[in-house]
Amino acid sequence: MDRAAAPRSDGGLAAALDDIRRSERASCVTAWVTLPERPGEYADFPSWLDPRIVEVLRARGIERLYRHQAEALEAVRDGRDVVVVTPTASGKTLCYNLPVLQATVSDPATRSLYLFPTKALAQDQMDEVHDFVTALGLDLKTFTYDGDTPPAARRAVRAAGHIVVTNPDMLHTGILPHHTKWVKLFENLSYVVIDEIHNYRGVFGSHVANVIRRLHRIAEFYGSRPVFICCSATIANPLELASTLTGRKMVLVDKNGAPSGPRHFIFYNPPVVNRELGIRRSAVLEASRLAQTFLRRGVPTIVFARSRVTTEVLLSYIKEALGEPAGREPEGRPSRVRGYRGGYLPSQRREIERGLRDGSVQGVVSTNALELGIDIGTLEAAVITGYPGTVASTWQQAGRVGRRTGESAACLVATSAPLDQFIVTNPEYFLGKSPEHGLIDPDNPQIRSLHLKCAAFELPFVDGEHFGDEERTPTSRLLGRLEAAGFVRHVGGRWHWSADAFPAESVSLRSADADNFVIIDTTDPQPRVIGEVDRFSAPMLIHEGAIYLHEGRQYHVDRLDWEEQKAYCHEVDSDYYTDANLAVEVKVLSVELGPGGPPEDARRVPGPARTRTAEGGLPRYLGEVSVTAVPTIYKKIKFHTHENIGWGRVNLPEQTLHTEAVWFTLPPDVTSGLASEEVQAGLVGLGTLMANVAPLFLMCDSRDIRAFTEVRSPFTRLPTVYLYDRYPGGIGLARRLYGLSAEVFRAAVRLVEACACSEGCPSCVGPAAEVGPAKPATARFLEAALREDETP
Amino acid sequence: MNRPLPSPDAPEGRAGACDPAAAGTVPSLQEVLPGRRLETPAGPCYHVRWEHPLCFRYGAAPLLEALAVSGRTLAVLGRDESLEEVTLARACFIDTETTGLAGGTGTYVFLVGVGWFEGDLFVVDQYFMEDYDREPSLIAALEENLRRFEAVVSFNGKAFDLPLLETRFILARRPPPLRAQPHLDLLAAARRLWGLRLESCSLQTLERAVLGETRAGDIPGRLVPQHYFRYLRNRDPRVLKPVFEHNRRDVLSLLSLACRAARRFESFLEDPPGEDGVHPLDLYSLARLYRAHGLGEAAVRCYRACLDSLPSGPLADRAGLECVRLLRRLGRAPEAAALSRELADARPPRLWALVELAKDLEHRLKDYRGALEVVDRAVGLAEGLRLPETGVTLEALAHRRDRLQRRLRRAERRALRPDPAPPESGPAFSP
Repeated sequence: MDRAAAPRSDGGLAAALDDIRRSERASCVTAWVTLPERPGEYADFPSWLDPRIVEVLRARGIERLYRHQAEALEAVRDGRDVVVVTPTASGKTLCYNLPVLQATVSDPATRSLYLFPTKALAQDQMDEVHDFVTALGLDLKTFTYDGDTPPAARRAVRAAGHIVVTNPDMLHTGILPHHTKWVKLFENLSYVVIDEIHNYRGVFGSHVANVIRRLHRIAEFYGSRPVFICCSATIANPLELASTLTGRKMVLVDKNGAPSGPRHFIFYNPPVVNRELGIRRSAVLEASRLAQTFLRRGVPTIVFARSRVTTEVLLSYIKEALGEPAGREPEGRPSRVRGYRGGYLPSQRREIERGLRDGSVQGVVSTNALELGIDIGTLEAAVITGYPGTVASTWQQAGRVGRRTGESAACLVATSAPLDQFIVTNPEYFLGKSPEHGLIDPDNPQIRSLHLKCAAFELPFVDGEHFGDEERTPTSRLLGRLEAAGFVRHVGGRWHWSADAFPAESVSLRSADADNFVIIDTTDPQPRVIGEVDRFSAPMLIHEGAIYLHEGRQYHVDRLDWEEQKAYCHEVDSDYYTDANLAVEVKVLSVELGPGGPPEDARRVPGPARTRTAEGGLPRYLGEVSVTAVPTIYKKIKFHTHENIGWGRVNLPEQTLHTEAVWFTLPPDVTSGLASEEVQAGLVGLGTLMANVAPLFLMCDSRDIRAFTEVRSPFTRLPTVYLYDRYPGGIGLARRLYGLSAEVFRAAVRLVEACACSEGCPSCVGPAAEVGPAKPATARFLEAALREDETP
Repeated sequence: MNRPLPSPDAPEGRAGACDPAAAGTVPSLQEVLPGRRLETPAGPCYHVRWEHPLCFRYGAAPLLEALAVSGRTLAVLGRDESLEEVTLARACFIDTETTGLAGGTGTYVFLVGVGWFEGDLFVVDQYFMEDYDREPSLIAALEENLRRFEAVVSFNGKAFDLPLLETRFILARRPPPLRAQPHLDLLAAARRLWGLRLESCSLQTLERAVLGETRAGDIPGRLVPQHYFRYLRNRDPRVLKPVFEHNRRDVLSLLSLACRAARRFESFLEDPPGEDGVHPLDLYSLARLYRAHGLGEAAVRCYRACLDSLPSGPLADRAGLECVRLLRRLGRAPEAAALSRELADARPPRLWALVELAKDLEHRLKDYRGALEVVDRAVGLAEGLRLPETGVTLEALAHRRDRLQRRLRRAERRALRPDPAPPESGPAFSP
């Protein structure tokens, strides 16, 4: 279907797997699951499919469709909005390309819009559609439209593009606010394709859902009503996510008909090096070993790391072990192992992608940047360093290897983090039905009103028009607020934008892209930009004194210009890297729900948060809080041994966040008889556990939710654990957690019970050395939380 | 100053009922800006008319001068052939006031000034959107009134005013106006004529530096949206007065600037030139404009005027070099050589001029010996300079000298031979 899947390593994979089975580390494998070969389920081409399209498919060796493709085609033909959920490499692009091309071939006026989460992916898919169109021999124009599109080409894209491929950010700032330049597109908009929708969750997804609301308004203005075709990786609630995202009722197509070769899934837990402290060998070191095992046997391998820093560390370890040149490769000897992550420049990335396809690059160490469907050819082994945070993401990463036939293998190497330990010791949890929900809250007050502004800029609102959830806040009330603030003017039954401003420009859909800090290498007399980081990561990664790692090289940050958003650094050869700490403070602003029921002035709470548990358990609150964070110090950590060899101060401005939080208090009877240090340790342990386990149920990044503990909270006057959304106004994570708390407590108990340590370790409640022996107290608190919860 | 009077159009009665501010001490729109509400199919549109007699001077020249500008000149200024058929008598001069500078669909046009010639008057019509819900009538009035013009003159209208109007028309689902008409955007023309000399090419700068007009009590363009928003909030039309005046003056400036640009362009087409005392930078700009449009003779005149009015310096070097090359391209090598020699002999001598002179002597005039002398002089000069002038290196000079010496030797040998083959033509060929 996509590309032929000939194994490239000639039996190297089988040999490498044998190496693992026979090595002294075989006991580290906690589960070795072989998913059997799966035959395909097929359907004939529908009779209405244009013969020219069929001809091109046949020329590519496609004689029939997979069942899910045929189902999607029929549903779209019936004018229904569809969400297709199948694994990587199941030919899902045909699910949207065929209906779109069929419609465009039969009526050349047809226009379609494709949305991909990243520019790279858009480029990749554009190439694929373009190839197909070229093979059809028809004059159909497909264009990418993003920040890289040269101004001279933009006019042509706007006027003539049959298929416009772009990303949500460009739709948000470049297309919708200028819709009069896109009359042709919007008048004839028949299909909107949104691929990889599982990426549109959390804050980003909540923004994108609002961008789609705006798209609906514009399409309606020009008299079109496009069909939505969405694709997603496996998540628990694809229908719910797709419907919330698009505001449409969707049809679900989720019976995968694509065949696949046998696949090995290996769960690997690094050996324990200190039993009392519960310390395991570093996952990074173990992942590097496994990657070497594959690469030495000539197996094309991808190594996933969770952060940019880990990517660089892993890259340098692997290169060193294989005797590859460090840093940028000298002329004429390209390295066979390369890094790939967000901070690399686009040209560098394209070059690495090409290398992977043509085989000149054999191994790649990547962040989740390569998790998405960028075509990198057929790889055979994946080493996943640390649980990627969600089941969906893990399958996406594992799915980057192995196509239709031939064996492939994925190894998940657990870190000491509680979530990792939970997964690696409960593989059946992972292999069972995905419990994750793609959560978005398009009606987050901040996000909704930001986009209401953008929408009013695009077209005046008419009285009675709705934008979002009327029950939560009526649109007219939000517009009234905008009028009071001088942004719109209500006259003649319409709300007109009435300010000298371009609102979309000041709204960023993702924190990462908007506000980048550039990193400038001043080693040479001619300084050059070597990478960039987002504003949020800047205090942690490029504070003065930080060691910034890029392409396996180390740079010492000499100066961080916060105003100008620039960090100046020079190359060094140090034997340590740095890790910064944040000091956090939480203040309660208002309580929406408390143990005595909703306060009198409480607003309505949608969804599960309404279902309150019995009066027992740990008293539980939901409300608004203000969180202040200021970076304090950074630690210098030695490579390989990972020991702490020094520290320095970070002097940067504090950042304040108003958000939603759920918090639990420990009543006196739960803490009676415990010394205050024990309460403190147990509380920290509880917070650590909750923050680590919660993402499992919320399908959010573990960075999206944070814990904070206080032995005596000025607000509750009791020991308190807060869990807050790390986005202004909250995006519903804490809210959801309020309803799911029993499940989260239960998972936490299982994790604590399964852990072999005695007093606490990084894999459960946190290292005993740092917080004191937390485990007994934490276990007691958990027991209290659950016992009373179940006996109302 | 000879201020034009507003047209005697009688205001239609007292302030309209839609003007709530009229009740208090706040004057009505008609009282502040006398005009009337035009009836359109989409409702009334407030309209103010200003009439200016053609002898009225704005920026040094009477308005009627515009009627004499040729289509050819307009075509060069606008770099658009379709302007050749145009006469300003049937063009509109357009300028808009908007609720912002960002563009996009949320930026409204609330005031459109349209200047045009009618009989012995230059009329400025202003169409005003009294509130957002009156936009349809503004669009209807413009649709009705813009269609009779054969051409458009604007300042930055190609990038700003017309796209914005187009956006407003599309939002109203009406066909955008003035799409097919030739468009003279004076911003581009002004940049080419005065851009080198002026620190900015804003209309205000041009008015001051080129037209010699200064506006007393004018509001800066960036404050215009705030005035309109304030009017919408409190309905006091007095805040609009400076906005309307700003807009009217912009339209008058357009006309005046078009005349000024045309006169400047035409001045050196004649011999002797129609203007003197022109700034050297402007002369240089004009010479380049002529050259770009294949007007070689005028360009040479202009370059020479520029060189005459300048002491030696980087600009003179540039003008001289371009002039020498242009002369050569026009097939006037002796003149080119003479100019090079003249500049080379200046105090201080110009190295590049020696090099150009050597080229003419060597390649066109075939005077190798003369060329060699010049090159020797150039080498001596280059060695004496601390920093060789841009583009001339000792290596290049040495190379040229070697070649000239070879040519000279060859020519001498040829002269000694009994039956010299004709140079350049190669061996004779016989069947």
